[in-house]
Amino acid sequence: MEIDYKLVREIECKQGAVRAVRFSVDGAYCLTCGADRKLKLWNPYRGVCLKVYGGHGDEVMDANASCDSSQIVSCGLDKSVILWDVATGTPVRRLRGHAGPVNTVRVNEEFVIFLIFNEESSMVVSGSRDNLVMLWDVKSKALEPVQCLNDAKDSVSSVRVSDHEILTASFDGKIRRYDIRVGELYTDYMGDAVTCASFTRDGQCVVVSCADGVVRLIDKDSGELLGEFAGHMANNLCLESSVDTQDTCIISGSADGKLWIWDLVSQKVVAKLSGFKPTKHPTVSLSVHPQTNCFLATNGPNVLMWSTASGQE
Amino acid sequence: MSDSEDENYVTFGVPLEPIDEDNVPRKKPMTIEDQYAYDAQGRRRFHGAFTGGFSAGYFNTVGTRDGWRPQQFKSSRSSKAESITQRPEDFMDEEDTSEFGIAPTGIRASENYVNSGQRGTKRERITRDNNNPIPGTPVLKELLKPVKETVGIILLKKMGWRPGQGVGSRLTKKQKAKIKKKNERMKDMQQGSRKLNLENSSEDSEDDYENVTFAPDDYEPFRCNPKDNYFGIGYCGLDRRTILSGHVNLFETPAFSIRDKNKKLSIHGQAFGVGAFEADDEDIYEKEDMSRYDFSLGPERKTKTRWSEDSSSRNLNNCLEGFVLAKNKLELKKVFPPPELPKNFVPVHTIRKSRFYPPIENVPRRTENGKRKDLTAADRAKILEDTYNTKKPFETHPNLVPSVASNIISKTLNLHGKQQTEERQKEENQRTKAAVSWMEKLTAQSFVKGGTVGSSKDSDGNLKKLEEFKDSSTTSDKQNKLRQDNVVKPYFSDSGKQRRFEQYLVFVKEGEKNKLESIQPLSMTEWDREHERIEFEQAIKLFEQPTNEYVANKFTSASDPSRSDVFAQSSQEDEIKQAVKMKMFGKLTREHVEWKPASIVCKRFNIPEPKVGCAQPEMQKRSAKFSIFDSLDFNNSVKFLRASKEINDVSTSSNVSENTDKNMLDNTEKHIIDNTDSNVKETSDDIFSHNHETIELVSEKMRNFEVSYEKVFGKEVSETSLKTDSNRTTDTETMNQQESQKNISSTMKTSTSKSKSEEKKDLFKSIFLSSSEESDSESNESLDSEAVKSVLIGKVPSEVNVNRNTSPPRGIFAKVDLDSLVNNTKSNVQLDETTSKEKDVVNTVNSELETESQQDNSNSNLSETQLLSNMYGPVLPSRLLKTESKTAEPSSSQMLKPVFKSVVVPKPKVDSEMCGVWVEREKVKKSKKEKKKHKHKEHKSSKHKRKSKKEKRAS
Repeated sequence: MEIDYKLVREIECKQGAVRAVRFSVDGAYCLTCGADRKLKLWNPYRGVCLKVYGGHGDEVMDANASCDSSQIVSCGLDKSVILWDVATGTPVRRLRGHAGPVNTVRVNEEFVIFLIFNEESSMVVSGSRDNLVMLWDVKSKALEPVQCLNDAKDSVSSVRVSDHEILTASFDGKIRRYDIRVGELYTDYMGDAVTCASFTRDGQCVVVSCADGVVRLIDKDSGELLGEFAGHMANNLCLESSVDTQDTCIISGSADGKLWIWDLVSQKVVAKLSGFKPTKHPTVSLSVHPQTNCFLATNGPNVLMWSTASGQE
Repeated sequence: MSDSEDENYVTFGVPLEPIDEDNVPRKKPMTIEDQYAYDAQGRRRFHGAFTGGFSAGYFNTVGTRDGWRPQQFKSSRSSKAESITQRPEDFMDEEDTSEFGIAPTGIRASENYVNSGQRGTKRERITRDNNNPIPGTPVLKELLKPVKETVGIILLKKMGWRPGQGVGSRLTKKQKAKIKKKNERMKDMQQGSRKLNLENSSEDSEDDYENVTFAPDDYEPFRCNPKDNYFGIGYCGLDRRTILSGHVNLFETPAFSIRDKNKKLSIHGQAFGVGAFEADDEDIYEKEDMSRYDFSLGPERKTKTRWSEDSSSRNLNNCLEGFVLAKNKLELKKVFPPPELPKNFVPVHTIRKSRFYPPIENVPRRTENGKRKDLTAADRAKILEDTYNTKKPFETHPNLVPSVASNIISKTLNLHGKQQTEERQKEENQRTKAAVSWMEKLTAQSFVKGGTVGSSKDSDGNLKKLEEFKDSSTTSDKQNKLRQDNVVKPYFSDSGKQRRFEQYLVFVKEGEKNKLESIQPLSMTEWDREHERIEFEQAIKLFEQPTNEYVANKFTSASDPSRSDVFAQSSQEDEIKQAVKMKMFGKLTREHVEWKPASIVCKRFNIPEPKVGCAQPEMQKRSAKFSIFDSLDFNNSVKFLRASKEINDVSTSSNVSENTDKNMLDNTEKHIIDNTDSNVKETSDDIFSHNHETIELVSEKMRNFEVSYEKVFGKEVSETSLKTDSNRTTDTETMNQQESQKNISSTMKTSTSKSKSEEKKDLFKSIFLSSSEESDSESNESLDSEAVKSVLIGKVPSEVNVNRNTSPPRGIFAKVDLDSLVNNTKSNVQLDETTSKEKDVVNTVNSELETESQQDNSNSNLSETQLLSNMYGPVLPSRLLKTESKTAEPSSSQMLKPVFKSVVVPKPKVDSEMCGVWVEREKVKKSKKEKKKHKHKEHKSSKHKRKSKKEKRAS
């Protein structure tokens, strides 16, 4: 089966280097985190900037929209996590608990949204370079974290939240899955610094990007290795990886500025997606549309969007 | 009639015209209320509540229908707002600007020109504008005088005065001249010597008109010209104007005139100042003018030179214009040279204890050319007492990197630490002196090591204990300790134990902790084994854990600090790495731990809380904000308090230090160095210096004893040598009799301690000693006798006493604080009642307590326990009783007693306060008294016995 990926759009964000790009929960909008301390809300299909959120004191590192798209939570090198009101563009809450730059932030039930739609996003999980993962209750007015996960021995690179799990990846080479339902912490050692760890769509596996240039597919329950995807260049970049919507492909950014796609089963490179013109910037951050096979990836100051137009037909 | 009247009366003013009877208005005049002001349109101008309101409403609008509108300020990037100046007219109506308005427009004579009759009552202010070239009132203004005369002038005129004349009675010419002269002089005084005597030329010699009187001259008041420029005084800048324009002053420096484009220019004023580098300026205050400068090349013009010469000679008195030479000179300030330093002066302060003592020698600081030569690293180390550091750098322990800086910090933070090392060293030296006589052995082993039965093993255990509850917050402190302990080998002095410990480490690595028993010698009792195990465990913890809890939290080390077996873990990690390399993810790489999510997290995730019923694994809620208080835990603060007590501890722990090759000389040198370093240590240093003084006098034995003695008691306020000597003798006596350490210290205390800090220390001493004494006293009876024997015979105590408790403190005693002390004593009391468990009681003994000998108070203790059981209320803290027992013991010297009492009596109160145990007052007192009596008898008798013993020995 040949999937044809088509470059739909290339958006110049005009906010310095784009640190991260994230689809909103319904996939209608996307957020870009800029090095110019601004957070921008886009309609990626038309390439229109809808709103600019300014208030971070330093580069914005990650952002995530709540399930009802009424709020955005973002984090940055200014060690703070900011909860934004989407409509007014004003910061609702500024959470300063981290002692170091905050790398990653998630709103809970991000993945659950398809299952439980009426759920509110009320818990923010943030991972920081101070080795801590903090859980914030944004429903309350408390400015202190509700819980602090201090198991990581090095900077936390990514955080993912499912309906009952928190998955954190750290540069100490371990991925930690906090199962809230069972009350246990599963730690898997990956051998090298983990730059990104994310769940697959079915919630059975974990896709782990390691600094040694290998993307690994790990069975969530047993911790066994299901597949390795290599070939791209890591170059000590904090590359992100993900699966596509149907759990058929593994997608990862690369230092060569291309978006690498492997087949999940055969572990072969399916495609290397690049923009219209060759770039010298690496592709670091990426985001997959929640429903359709539509990818967003950052490349320097630009955001590129591909979709499988032909594949869907 | 009219004629005669006319002649008799003088009429002033214009008479009113006679009233025409017919034209008298019939009507009543309109009342004020009826009078309205109307505007041009016939509208009422004023209306309102009281008809006085000024209408600025619709009819009398300002500009718009709605009245005056405040101005708007608008500014954008494209159209920047201009600065708008508002005029009063902006707020005015058109009516206001009409003829009768408040600001009428139109041409009319200004106030000055209005006829004087119509002038307002206000006096006209004389405005003088100083911006004009000519100071004073402008010339034009004077020429074109407005037709304005003040009332006074009008009146004067009417009285015959004419402008130009003065006011006053008419004068003869002579008088007039006199006055004129006087005025002139006044003017001269004020204006300076500008125009001196040249005015007299107009004086006429006509004395004919003696009877003719003249009007006096108009007196022109002198006006000061205010300074309106920024020039220096006396300098007037260039004034470039045409010759005819200004008033020509003949007496001024002539204007330099040049022809410029067919226009004659005269340049007034000075040109430039005097250059700083001009050598031949005769007068720097001389006025320079432009005429001195050449404007064209060629031969000098005559006129110029003539004028300039004239001008230069004009300033006869060498005085700046406007100034007068002073008559009497100002006195010059005399400058005294700085005092000369004596030749042998050294710019280093030498500390002197008092003026009767010779100055304490400083560190030999090399001063060259008055500059301090930089110290070498070795020197610094010496000063800082960082000798260990320089000798053997650490390789074994990576996180204990020795640094001078850290040492300094530790020294400053923890001053006793230094003392400790110092004393340790001294003690070492003492020991290397090879115990020749039994007395030396006695001092070196039983006394210094801190126990009657102080086997080396034992003291090690003590050390552990001490170390544990010593201030461990500063890493460097620990560093010191670790240095001595050879990092991972805390039991080096006991090779067997050390071997076992090493073996134990291996076992731990392998996860077989229980194997320890297999290597322990059979001679060890069950209890000993158990305690050795505990000791080892604690030792491991001690060496692996980061010192500070806060630091541990803040910085996660490479290994998990919560796990004690790091070795095992590291090997495990290797395995994992291997597994990863082999891509064997799964069981090997996975580990799972229990984790308790916060309840709120569960709630938000809509998940029932897992393991609700279970005991909660400790979950520290990290305070989000950094606070200095995070790092200060209570334990630490307690430790700080305890630091003062450490002087005592040092003696016991000191025997651990290994390097024995230091001789006495070295040691003394050290102390001298120390003197320069810290104030806190001063008192102890004093003792040492004192020691040096007297050292020749005393025999070698005595000296050795003294050193150890000082080590034991640490700081004491120095006294006169006599006193200390006497004390020493008494002490030796007591020593020989195996008197308890506390006993001695108490005697010393009574004699010497005066300063507050000292008292505090004693308080602590008393607290710790007393608490221990009780527990010791009974239980150790049998042991003690043995120990005493051994000591007396001269055997090495370790050989003698195998059964002796060698364990570290455990349980609460591992970290003794005040509270635990209270508990401690309580439990001890109970134990005392059941006297069978000897060893357990021994175990509770604190390190320094073991230095005591207890054989003498056994009886009294029994009585105490009885008393205790009879007591009402919560258990009396044992130290209350102890202090009493102490009172009974003091030395034989009678003269010291009253002092002693005064010191001790308030103590129980403080103690009871500190431990917070409620005690019935009266009863306690009673019991005290009883005990006192009782004890006195006891001790005296015992002392006598001992004395006799000693005498025997001596003979």
